[in-house]
Amino acid sequence: MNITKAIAALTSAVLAAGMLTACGSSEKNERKPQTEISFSWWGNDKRNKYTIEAIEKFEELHPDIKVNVSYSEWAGYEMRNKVWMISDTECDVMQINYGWLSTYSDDGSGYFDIDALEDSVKLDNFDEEVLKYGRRGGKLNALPIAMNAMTVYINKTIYDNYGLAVPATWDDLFSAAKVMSKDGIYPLSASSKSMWLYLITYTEQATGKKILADDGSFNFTADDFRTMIEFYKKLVDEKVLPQVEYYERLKLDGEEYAGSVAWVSDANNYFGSAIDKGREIVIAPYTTMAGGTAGEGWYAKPATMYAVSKDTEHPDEAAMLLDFLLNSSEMAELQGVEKGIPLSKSAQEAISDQMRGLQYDASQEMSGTPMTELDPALENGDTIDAFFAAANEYIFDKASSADAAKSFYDSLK
Amino acid sequence: MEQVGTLAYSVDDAYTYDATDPSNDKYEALNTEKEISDELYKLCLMENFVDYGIVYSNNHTVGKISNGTNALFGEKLYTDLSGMITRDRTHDGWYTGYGDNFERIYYVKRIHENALFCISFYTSELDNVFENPDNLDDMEIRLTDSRYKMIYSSKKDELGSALPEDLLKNIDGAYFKAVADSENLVSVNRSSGSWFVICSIPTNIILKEAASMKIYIIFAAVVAAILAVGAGSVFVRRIADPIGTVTSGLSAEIREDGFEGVLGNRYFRDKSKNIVNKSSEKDKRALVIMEIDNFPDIINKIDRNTANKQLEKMVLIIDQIFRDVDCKGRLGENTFAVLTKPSSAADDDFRTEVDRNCELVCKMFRESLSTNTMGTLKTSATVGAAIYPISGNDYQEIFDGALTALEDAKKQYRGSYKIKL
Repeated sequence: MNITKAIAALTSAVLAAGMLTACGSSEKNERKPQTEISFSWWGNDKRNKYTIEAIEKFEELHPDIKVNVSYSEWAGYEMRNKVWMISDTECDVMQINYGWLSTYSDDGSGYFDIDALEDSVKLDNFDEEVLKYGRRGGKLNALPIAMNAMTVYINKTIYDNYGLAVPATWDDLFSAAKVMSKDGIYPLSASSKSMWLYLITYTEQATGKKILADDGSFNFTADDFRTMIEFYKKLVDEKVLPQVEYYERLKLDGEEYAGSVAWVSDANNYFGSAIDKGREIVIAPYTTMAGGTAGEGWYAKPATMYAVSKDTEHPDEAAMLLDFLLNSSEMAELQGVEKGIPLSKSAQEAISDQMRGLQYDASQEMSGTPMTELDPALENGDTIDAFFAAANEYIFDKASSADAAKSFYDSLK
Repeated sequence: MEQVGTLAYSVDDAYTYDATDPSNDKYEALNTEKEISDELYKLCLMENFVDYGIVYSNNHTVGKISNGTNALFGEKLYTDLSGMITRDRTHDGWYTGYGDNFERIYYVKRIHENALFCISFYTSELDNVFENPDNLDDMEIRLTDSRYKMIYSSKKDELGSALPEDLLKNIDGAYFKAVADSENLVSVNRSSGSWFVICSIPTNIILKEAASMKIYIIFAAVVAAILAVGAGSVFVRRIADPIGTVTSGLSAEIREDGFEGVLGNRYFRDKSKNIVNKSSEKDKRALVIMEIDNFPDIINKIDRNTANKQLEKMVLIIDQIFRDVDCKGRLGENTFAVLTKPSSAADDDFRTEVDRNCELVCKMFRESLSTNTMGTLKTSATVGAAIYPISGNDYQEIFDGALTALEDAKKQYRGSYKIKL
């Protein structure tokens, strides 16, 4: 350092006060002798915090690499990712949704082939069965972090207060609603995607049909969607679950919802506050018809995955970051089971003492239940929005259930 | 961030719809809120914002209001966010430290009587703002609120705590100051939201560098003396003084700032300071600071060339208006200053003269420019002034006074002026 530089830097830093209105800009100084790579993800406060901390550790380990980060909560993130992917401005390393492999890389050309980075990424930490989830067109496009499935979480303390058993069937839920609704409590709750998948579960059980055919096209008819829409209205009318537009996650903390349908990876995010208050949160059996088969109509998928940009100018540095995120003890210890039980063997070893708690229980329940692999088409946000728009037509008496279902069915073509 | 916030007004329903109106049709309300929400998400698509949405007086939210913010404020979401509005003219404000949580910074703007617009981002994002052009491992940068609680620090573990006493003692109450003591070289600057950016380097680091430079400088002086006997002792004396050499080198870099007779920031301040601090109370001086408003807009919405012409125009106006000038300088990209003396001996006349000159700067600078895409862009300059010895007893006091006046004028309205008395 020399004094002229110091004074110049002090002056420039002083002037930084005037730059506060530019917060959020990702503009970077170009004079640092470092390789700059970028990394994007979505998540809640907790995930954002530990991921930023992990990146700082990575930069300490690799002072010649600077990682520029981009993140937000899930809401809106899918569109952000779409803009990046279509405009070829995606980050060097990305957390991606399983479904995006089909959307952006059906033939394997949409993401970097991670097989080519095996010198830096310890792929032998993953079973070939697991790697298959990330392969498209023979190329290893992404590595899964953990497995995920919708799970029924129940605040058993509330159910106990009403003398109710943990619900296992749809009928149990309607019975619980009759008792709890007098106090303004819903036996269960779900955000729009969870509700959509939960309604698919019911409809598959009720009709005995899969929503998708083997070729990925929709197998449900307009009449099957009518069953689905009518059941949704029944759930709302009888106060089993709140209408998705009025769902507020924090009402779980306020105990206005006695349970939730949510991902395995959401366990601590959704119920951490209740557990801290000493409430007993349990994993309910996957909901079925009375006498039904466990797991029928339920789906599992890789929780989230990491991929590398097909156009990255720094594949070596991106590979180092990718390996750090998936296989390092530093990241594993910070992440714990927040995204589910890690699939990387070295990450599992690093957190063997953390393999307990609600999220772990949810993972175990998923592992012990036969489920269908979730097709990415069922996570399409536009499809889900269109379904609830059609359902609202029926709920608010703007259309009959048959017309609403037909309108939605037609939109799928 | 304020500009991205203003973009929300491009969504018509965002500022007209009232979710608290009991006459709203439920079905229509759902659809309207979904449309507003979709538009807001698009506007903040590429920003690392935690929140970007509307909060209504019944605590109902539309757009991106995070679970973290909902949990932090609970039932007081609307009322406590309302309390963060501090600027009357733009009915908005900045806040951090809510519930002693310094991890988020909030910007809140009132939309209508029952709704607020709320943006927030993580304080860790400030790393992007305070990243330095030079690799100064020893320099520490901090952002504090008006109570000197740390919103950002390059020493991560300090977040939320009070500014260290050894720094505070030197800059407490100052708006714009650089000071060195036996421990630190410290500088402070106040931002428009009454927050402070404070930078410091341990003095021993500076001195260590100076000592190592001294050996080189003495060696260079000997060589210079042999080669340039004829240049005389003045030259050698300057080169043998390490601090003088540094100042000399630095001055050469910043003496003039691209405009004839306009000094660079540091040279202007050194010269002004010398003049003011050596003045008796009879020797009145006025320090006038002039800032071209919306300068980034001129660059972004028109072009750099037009922005440069605005700078030239400001220099021309300064030359036309201020007659008895000690020195004029450029403090920042779009900020100029002059130190003037009275053209008349009477006290009241000098006050009136400064008042008239400030008004003239504002008046002469006002202009409307045509842009290619955004229609007409109005340009203006805001002015703050302070008078020695009325506003302060030394240079630092009148400099702080002029800056305060400038900030006050900005709060009043852009294109106006204030004099600190």
